[in-house]
Amino acid sequence: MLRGEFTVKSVTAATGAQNKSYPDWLHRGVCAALSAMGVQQPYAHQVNAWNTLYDGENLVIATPTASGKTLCYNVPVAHALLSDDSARALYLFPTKALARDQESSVRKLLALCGLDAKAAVYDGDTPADVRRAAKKSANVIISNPDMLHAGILPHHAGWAQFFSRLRYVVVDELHQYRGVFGSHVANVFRRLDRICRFYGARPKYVGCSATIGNPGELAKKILGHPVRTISQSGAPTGKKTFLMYNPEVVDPVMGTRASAFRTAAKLAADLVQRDITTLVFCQTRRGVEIVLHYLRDRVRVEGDVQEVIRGYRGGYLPNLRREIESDLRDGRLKAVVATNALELGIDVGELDAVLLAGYPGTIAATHQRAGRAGRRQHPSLSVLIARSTPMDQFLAHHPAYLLEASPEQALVQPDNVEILLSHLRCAAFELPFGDVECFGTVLVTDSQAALSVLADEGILKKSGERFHYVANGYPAADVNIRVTMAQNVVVYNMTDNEPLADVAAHSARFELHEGAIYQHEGSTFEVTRFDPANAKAFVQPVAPVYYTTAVDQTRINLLQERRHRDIASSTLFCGDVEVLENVVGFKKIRFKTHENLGYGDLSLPPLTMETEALWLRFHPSITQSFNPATAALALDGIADALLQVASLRLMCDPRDIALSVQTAVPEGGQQTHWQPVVYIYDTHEGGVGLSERAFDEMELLLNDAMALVNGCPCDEGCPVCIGPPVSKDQTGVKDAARTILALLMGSARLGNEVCN
Amino acid sequence: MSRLQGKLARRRKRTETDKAQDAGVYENSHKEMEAYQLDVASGTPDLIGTTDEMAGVDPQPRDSGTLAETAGGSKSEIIAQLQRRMEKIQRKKVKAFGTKNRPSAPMGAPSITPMGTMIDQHSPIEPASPKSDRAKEVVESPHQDISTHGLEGPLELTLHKDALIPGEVMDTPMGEVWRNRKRYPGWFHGNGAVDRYLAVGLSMAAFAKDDRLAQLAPEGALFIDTETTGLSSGAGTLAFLVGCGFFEDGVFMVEQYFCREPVEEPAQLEALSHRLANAQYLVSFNGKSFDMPLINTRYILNRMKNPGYNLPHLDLLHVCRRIFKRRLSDRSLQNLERVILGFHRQGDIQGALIPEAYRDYLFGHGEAQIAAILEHNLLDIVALAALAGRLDEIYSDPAAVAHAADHLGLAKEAFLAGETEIGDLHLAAADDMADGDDRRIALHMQAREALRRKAYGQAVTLYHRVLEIDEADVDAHLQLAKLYEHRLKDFDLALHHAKEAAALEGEAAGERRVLRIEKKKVKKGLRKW
Repeated sequence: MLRGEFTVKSVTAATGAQNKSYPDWLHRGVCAALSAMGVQQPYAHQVNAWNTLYDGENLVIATPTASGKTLCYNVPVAHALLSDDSARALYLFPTKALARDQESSVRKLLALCGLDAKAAVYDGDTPADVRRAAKKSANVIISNPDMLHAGILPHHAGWAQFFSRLRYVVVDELHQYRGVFGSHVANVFRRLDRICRFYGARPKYVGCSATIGNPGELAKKILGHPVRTISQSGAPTGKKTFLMYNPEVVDPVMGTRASAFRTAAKLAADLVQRDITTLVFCQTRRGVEIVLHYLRDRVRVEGDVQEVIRGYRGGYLPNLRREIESDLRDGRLKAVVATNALELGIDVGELDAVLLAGYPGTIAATHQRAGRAGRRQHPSLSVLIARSTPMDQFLAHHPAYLLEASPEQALVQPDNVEILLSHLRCAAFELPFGDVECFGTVLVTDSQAALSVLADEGILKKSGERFHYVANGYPAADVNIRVTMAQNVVVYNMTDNEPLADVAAHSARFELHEGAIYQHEGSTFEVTRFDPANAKAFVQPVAPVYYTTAVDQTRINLLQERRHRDIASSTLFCGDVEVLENVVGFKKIRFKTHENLGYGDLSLPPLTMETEALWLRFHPSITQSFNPATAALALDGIADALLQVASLRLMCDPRDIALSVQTAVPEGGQQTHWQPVVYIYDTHEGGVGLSERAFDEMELLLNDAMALVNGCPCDEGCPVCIGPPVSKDQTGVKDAARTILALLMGSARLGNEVCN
Repeated sequence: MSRLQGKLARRRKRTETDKAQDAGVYENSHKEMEAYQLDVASGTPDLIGTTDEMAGVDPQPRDSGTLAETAGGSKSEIIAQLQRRMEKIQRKKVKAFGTKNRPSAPMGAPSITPMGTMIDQHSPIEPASPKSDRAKEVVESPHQDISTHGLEGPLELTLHKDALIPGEVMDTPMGEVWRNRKRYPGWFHGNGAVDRYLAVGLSMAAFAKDDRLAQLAPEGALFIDTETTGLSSGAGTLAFLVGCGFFEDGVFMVEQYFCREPVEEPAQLEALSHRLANAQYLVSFNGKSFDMPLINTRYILNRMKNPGYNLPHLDLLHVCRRIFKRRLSDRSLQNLERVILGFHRQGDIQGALIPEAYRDYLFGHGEAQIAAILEHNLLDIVALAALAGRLDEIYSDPAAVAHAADHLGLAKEAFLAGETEIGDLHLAAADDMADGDDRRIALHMQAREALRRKAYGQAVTLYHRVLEIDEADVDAHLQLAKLYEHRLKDFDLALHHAKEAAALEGEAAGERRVLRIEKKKVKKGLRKW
């Protein structure tokens, strides 16, 4: 029945708990409450966390799912409240659902401690009267960064009492704050820090993160304070089996494999028939409904299939979600098919098996979701089902990447000029900005220069020794921390006028131009109208024999080279560039044969932005053994592969970075002087540090790219590795790509990696 | 140069490059620019920033000469950038309006016309000091001043910065602030005497729903109004002008504290503290939800104590909303002043333009606009005092009320405050004066008041009078049904009215009532029998 293959089997043996006794200094009330909760012997990492905070240090905890992170911060807060009942704490979660979930657990602990202290959610859904009460009297405010940014900090005078008594700031799911979002959040914390200083408070920061490669670095950048990292978990784990399943190839030309949804449904049905409680994760809401449909169709169990197999996703009403959560906890359900709505910290009790229909995009999220299986000490199973996407296929062939300690780096660039300027504007609105005042780690000379820019724009006015906000309006309302400056383009299905998807503004120009074939969850659409000014695109379902690729003339102007180093005989640079993207037309290409069926002209306005980039200039010796046409195609392919693996390593969406290849042979056509260049740049204005990190990790990326190319079963390239062949009779390009990669990696690595 | 500074420099340079490309256009449109500046200075509303422009980008042109001076000539890049901006906006405007449609400037000149020109004969102006005389003198020929200012930007630097603004520097322990004082002896605002406020009685306590006011003398009132850099309540909104009205030795008087620079705020608050500390209560228009919270925020931001924090507060916005609900759809202070006091402002600066005008002033031009804002604020405070006096007058003397609808509103205020005698007087007056719907409502209110006092017979009479006006008044039928059923035990009549109500309403509840009364009627019949 299953014709694909299990490519990975990894078994992690059970580990015992490492316990410690309560620290001496811990208030008796808290000890009693912990005992009442059945925590006689806290885990070692919990006690370490408490001691760290007690010693006055900031902290980031990066231990796996279900290791009791909540107690790491709830206990010190309860302890603080027992000694000072006017103390305040701020908890921030990335989603509202998670905030509600945590509200009850904090309240429970506070009540067990015999405290009269209040914990209250304060977010966009909180009614006005509850808000007033929470602001005035809640000891623990549970909110999200958006609310802090737009609702609390600009009105800090109304929170004067809260800020002056603030003892702890807890930031859960820290790894969610990366890229542009994280860079914004880091600046929100810089503003929080100013306000705290104004009210004379020096709160301690506690961050919690999934297992990522750089929790300490990320926490330091986001929170703006030095932190101590605790990543060794003392919680016991059961025997864990992790499998990766790669469905069979159904279309060798396009590299398409059987649907991950159907496969997930088949596997889940098998598990459910064996009475194993199973949780299936899908990437999208629609995926949930598809798997749910297949699964309910296949399963023969006692009782109503509709009742024991449930879906769980955003869009379900909160009450229904709570009901499903509690049914799952109480063992009344056989299977749940969910989106990441269920991923974040929500307690659903013990599950035997977790299926992931497709790679969730990061290793951290994979671990987090797989961690749902086998809470506490029971043996558990998790299976990752690969889709046809390059990332999924790379992982299917390179399990080590998933199984090693997570090497992913969560990156933020709080000093991105546009982001920084927008938050300086908000900061000056909150408090006039002094001329020797620092803003997080920004140098005073830098922040003063940035403030002068705002003053020149008439937003601030230097009066006395301080910059005052003098413009009309409410700057926080103009800064949406969840998106970049450019708005996402919403794709509307014209048959029902419902929004179908949203696409980052940058990619939209390539994917949603008029006449483009847009693929969405296995269906194909043709774009009938693209309206970049209003960030909308309209599509109609079609069944074409071709797909489209945009033809762009991207020009890159070097603004400032910052660093460079040698990679074999070639040179790698990083610095600031200006990118001029001009999508001039598109090609229609027949499926399978790759015949060019036609060309369409486009007249989209060119896009100019300043951003950060890395560029690799190939030495002539690397390409000289190929004919230039083959070499150019091979370099295109290598760039494609690099882009894919870079998005994995950099923990970003593939659309957060883009590439441009300059393979034009110089005047005179002498190949001996030919120095083609591959650029990889951040697609966010100003950059968020992705390309610079890629510069540092280039050896690793080349290694990964080689592995991707080697692991792909195609003959002459496919969308999964170096991109599909440009013509039917293309030969030697994939080999050339392999050889060039090997040359770049140097001979020592060649032996090591190519043979694997 | 640090990495960030490099980026900032390039950011500037980018705009510089754009500018270079557009340089020719700038030259050509220089004349237009001057005309535009004239419009901006004179406050022509449709040329000043739209909301999106206010949101982030500076919509105002900057005068290059001014900037060159203030920046000491060292920031040529900035000036270039601003010129480019100016020119860009200009192009936008030209595109939007076309040159021939340009409104003839200076239309809607700010109200720097002194009070004397728009008041009744019996409202003498009494300058507070020789200083304000000078101000008056300058101010009386506004158009010329504005033109000069607009056309020859650099010239303004030769003038004293505050030459056009009435008032003088005030020294406080927290530094300097600009103060303007004005006395209003025997002043009439339209037909409303400001001094009438000194005779106010218990109405203020009734209006404020605050018994503390009943104990306080009219002289203890502080009338307060602010002009701000925006409408949001966030920490970045400045109250750059705070106006305080109060009675000093029986004469109404306004003191305004104006920040010529944001840095003067502590001194401004210090001056205000003195006023607040001497006040027994506050009178404002929308001050409860806007001005006072904002002032409180300013005190917190400057780490100063707010002496006005817990003062009793009469907010006339809420009072007027309740009283004039039935008569006036626009219950803004300016409209009330027109309708209730018969005062018509001329050339007053629009409230919406005030934030931008202050920003202009901060960046070096627009004193005339500030003078207009001070005038606007003075008028608001005087209107506030006159309006409060008038409200007391019509509340306590029903004969002074000209509209039946106002009687209803006032009666409601009285009943809410538990002053039933006054309420009854207003209702009786309304009953006499009104016809149709107002009368019906007056009768309803009287009947409800009678019910509250358990005067059931009177209530029945009143409801029957309602039915005389409108025999299809469901509420009257329902009330009568209840009264006959429960109080007067006349089930025939109860049944009649219940059926009428049910027929009009067609509701199940009405039919249940009918059934219940029929049962009771049978019971009563049985007992009798």
